[in-house]
Amino acid sequence: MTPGAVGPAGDVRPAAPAAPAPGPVPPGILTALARTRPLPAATAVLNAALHARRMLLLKSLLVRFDAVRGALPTAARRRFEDDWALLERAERTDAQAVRAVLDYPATGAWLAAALATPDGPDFQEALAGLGAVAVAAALRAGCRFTTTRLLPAGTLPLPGIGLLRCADGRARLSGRAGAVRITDSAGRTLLLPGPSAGPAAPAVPGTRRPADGALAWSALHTLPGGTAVLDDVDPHRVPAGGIGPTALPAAERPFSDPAAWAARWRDAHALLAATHPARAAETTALVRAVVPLVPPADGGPPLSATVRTAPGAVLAQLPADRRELAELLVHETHHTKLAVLDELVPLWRPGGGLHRVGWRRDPRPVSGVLQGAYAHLALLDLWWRARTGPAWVWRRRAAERFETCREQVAEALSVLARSDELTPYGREFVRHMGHHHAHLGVTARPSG
Amino acid sequence: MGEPMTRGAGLGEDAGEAVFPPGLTDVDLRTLRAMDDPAVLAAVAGVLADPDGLRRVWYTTGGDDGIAPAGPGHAFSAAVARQSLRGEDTVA
Repeated sequence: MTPGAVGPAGDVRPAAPAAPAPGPVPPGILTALARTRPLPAATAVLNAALHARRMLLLKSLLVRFDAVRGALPTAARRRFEDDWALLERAERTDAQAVRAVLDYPATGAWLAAALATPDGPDFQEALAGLGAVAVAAALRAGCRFTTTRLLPAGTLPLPGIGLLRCADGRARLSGRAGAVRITDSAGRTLLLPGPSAGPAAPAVPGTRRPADGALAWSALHTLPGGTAVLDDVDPHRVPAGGIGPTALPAAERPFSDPAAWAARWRDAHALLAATHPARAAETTALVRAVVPLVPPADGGPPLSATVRTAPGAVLAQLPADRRELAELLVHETHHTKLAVLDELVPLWRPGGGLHRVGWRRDPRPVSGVLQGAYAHLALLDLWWRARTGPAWVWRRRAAERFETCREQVAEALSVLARSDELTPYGREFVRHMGHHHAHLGVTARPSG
Repeated sequence: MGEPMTRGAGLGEDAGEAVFPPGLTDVDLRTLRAMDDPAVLAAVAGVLADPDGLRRVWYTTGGDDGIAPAGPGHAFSAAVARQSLRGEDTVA
């Protein structure tokens, strides 16, 4: 365990390391990412990397399927092949629409869960998740299709679109041009109209159900000003064990308060756009979903999270005001950025030791120190701007938090700078983080 | 963009680990299924060797900022404290 010596605030640059070999990320992009700069070119690199990673997970699922296909029941094998064929057909119709479904956070969470499931009946059940992805892709692509789904759990989550509830466990879906007719085995029918414009998917947010409630469709709400959705229905939106030390679960509809989220989202983005327009644009480009968590019990501290296999999803309790949401979005977006970057270029080596930092009793691995330092460096950058920005209501709070957080980030960067667990890319990345931290520290001080 | 790699590839002292296969960003699904490139299969083997490692979560509370496995079990917290950011100084 390495001691967490506190370095001088404002200058935590390690000795200049040997430059890493040319890698998959152009040096200018790596530098911009390390400095938390919201460059469109960097966002494009991250989105491409996210898709490449998602394709690798999909290929991994195909390899596992091929390995066990001989042991699968014929019906399960045929179902998987039919679902894959529908997915391919949707891609031939509209590749970008299918890419949006594949890259949606809950799709990554399903893939990760499926890949972690041992061979046997549970894996067979996990494979059925491909059907949900294929139907969602076909809907978004505007394909004409008909499929009958057996739904033992009584639900069919369509990633990024919504959730079908079918009490009798069998539903026939017929799609055309983004509209879908859903019929259960008792003949109950739902007709969901396609959109008149925009991405093909069943319109009408909220829940629609026949009179007896046995067949219901819950469409996701799109948050104002972009394409991000409030995902309060997908079963993969929060890990099975919940989030954080109290295993916090997702908020379920109708307790997810979409109206409050939409209003706060709009206000937070307006605040962010007024303070740092490029940061607001970056957040819009990288956040694909907000997942409401249940409120804190007994007035406990608020919680937010990012899941490694579901980057682009911000899991959070509704913040108290627009400033908190703006800060939360920047914080979690940087967990997403580093999660994606770390899949693209190695920043640290696995199996390292734990590190003491001054503000916590429990030691933590270098990957966590890096994640926390990075997210808080982005907050420092935000507060550095907000303390003199156009939003008067934010200035005092931003100035106070900037000063407090700057020392904390300095400590973390000091730990990282001394660590021998970073790769050459990681050392270079941390070096540029240190440069930016120092820049903020110097320019934050009054002249003279 | 350049071609992605997995941890450790092509970095001199970190060399020897699997290389993230090239070309996955723009590959179509039919091609993906048929791919038998050794680099792709090596990367798949890396994924399948540690599927639980995929499910890592970074969480932030008013009291701390941690990293933990998604499933039940131990949490290994590791990041910058956020207690001062939301006024919940419980661990300093």
